[in-house]
Amino acid sequence: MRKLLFLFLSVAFALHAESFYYNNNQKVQLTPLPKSLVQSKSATEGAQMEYYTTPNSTLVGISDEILIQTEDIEYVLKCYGVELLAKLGNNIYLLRAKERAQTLELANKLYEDEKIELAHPNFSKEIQKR
Amino acid sequence: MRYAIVIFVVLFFIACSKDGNSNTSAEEETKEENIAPLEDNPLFSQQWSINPNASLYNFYSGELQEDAHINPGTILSRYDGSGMKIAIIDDGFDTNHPEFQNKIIKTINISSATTITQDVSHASSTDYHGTAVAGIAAAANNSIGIAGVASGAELIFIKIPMDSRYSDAIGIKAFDEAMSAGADIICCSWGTSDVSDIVKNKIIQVATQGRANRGTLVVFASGNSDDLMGNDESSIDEVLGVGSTDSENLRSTYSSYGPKLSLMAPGGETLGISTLDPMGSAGVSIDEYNRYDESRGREAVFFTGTSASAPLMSGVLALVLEAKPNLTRQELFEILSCSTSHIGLNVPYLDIEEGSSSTTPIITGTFGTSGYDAFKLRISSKRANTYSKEYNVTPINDREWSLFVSESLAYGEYRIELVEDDDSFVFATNESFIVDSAYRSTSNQIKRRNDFYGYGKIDLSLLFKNIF
Repeated sequence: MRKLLFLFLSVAFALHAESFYYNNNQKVQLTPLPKSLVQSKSATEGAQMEYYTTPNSTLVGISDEILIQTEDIEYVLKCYGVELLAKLGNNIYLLRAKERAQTLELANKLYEDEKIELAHPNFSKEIQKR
Repeated sequence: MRYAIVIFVVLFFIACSKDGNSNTSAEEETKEENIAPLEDNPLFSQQWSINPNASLYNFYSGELQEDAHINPGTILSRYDGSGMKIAIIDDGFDTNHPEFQNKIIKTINISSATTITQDVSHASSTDYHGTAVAGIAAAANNSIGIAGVASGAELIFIKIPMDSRYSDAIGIKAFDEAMSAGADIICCSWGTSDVSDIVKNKIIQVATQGRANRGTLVVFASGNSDDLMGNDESSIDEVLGVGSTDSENLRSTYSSYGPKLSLMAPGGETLGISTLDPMGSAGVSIDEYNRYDESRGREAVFFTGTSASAPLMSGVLALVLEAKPNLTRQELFEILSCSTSHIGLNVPYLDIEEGSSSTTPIITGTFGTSGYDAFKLRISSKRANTYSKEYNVTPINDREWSLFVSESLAYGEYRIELVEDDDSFVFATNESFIVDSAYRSTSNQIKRRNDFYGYGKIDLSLLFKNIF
């Protein structure tokens, strides 16, 4: 039983450790949040999202969409097998990963690629009227 | 030799003019008061934030400080933002509102990529946010309701979902639309508190490349959480982050702050800001959010928050660009930094060093506004008449100060008071620190209501003096 608990904790820790994205040249840890705790999305939208909280306690949703800023979109499409959804102004593109589960890892790989200026998931966020 | 002197004098005067448009400046400085009287708008008498003669100043004398407004002078009767385009990124737009007649030049719903029809249900009092925000910036000067700060400016309504359906891509598209629609100013009375890199870059791009590379003026509300702004859209250097002041001419207690706060503008608190709410079919306000009525309770009838401060500032910027359309964003930001008035006292941010084994405390803090008003700190024992001494505070730079208490203090509790340099006013902080075996303050960081990092409240008359 103790071994099982240790294994569970190790797996949970490993999964948690992998959950980060890059912002302002730094790794930002993301804490996974069970969908049952997130009620603000509609059922349809919610089903397409994985939810996390940032160190600032901001709730973010991650779908299969990734934002990148690059001058060589052809290279990205050729080498990363992503679908181009839209061009959003100069050098900014909205992409779709093949699988939602890949989104965070793929976004981080894109960020680490020297040919790509910036990359992160297309985060959904709770906007605050002020 | 005489020619040389004449040439020298001419060159001297050219060099001393603040910009290359000295001739146009002279024309604009003497611009006539040709705007129809704002007093003709019946609710202008409630607009204490931009109207020093508002009737509420009499009604609430004592509570509503006489200098709580933005010191408009005669500016609002000479400039109305004509020719300027203000994009409002928000939701809850009442596009049929009579105060927006012939002013809306474009609408778009970013989520559906369609134009916006009358976007308020009239069933709820909570869905008119964009209408209220746009009204403060640019409601028409049309003898009904209120008058916006820039009543002659044109409006671009950009609808985004103001809830969890918002995404980074939607934010990027919204700024792209605003820029391609030729917005001179973009007003955002919202924020995420956690802006992503690519959204930030898009905002910076608009703020530097918009207006034919002079830079679109992007205004964000600083937030209503009485906390540091953090990694918020309003903290971006190229953005004007605007906090709120209240009827007492102090920082509104909710107004978020931080080293990136640019300046403040009235957003109210117990006494809020008159603006627009959804109109009914007969042209009558559904909820009468503007109509002052003491019996209904003040908080219920006005719009309050940094959401109100951002559009007020956006309207001010439209007036400035009408007068000086070629000013770059960077030039304007520099002018703004010296175009503010201090709110309340320039109360510093106190931080008493804890844990020292010495009995000579070091007290450090930051100034409430840029530059500093000289002040003294009076430290007195709470036990009557045993110790009271005033110390001159030493500025470290224009943001920070420190005070080293040179003599050993006896154990006990001490009161701190801030004394203006000319002894004209003593501001009791109601805070104290305790001297014992280790220094302790009752509150390590004593945060006062009128304590913030920003420059101060926008002063419209001073701003216009500085742009010419």
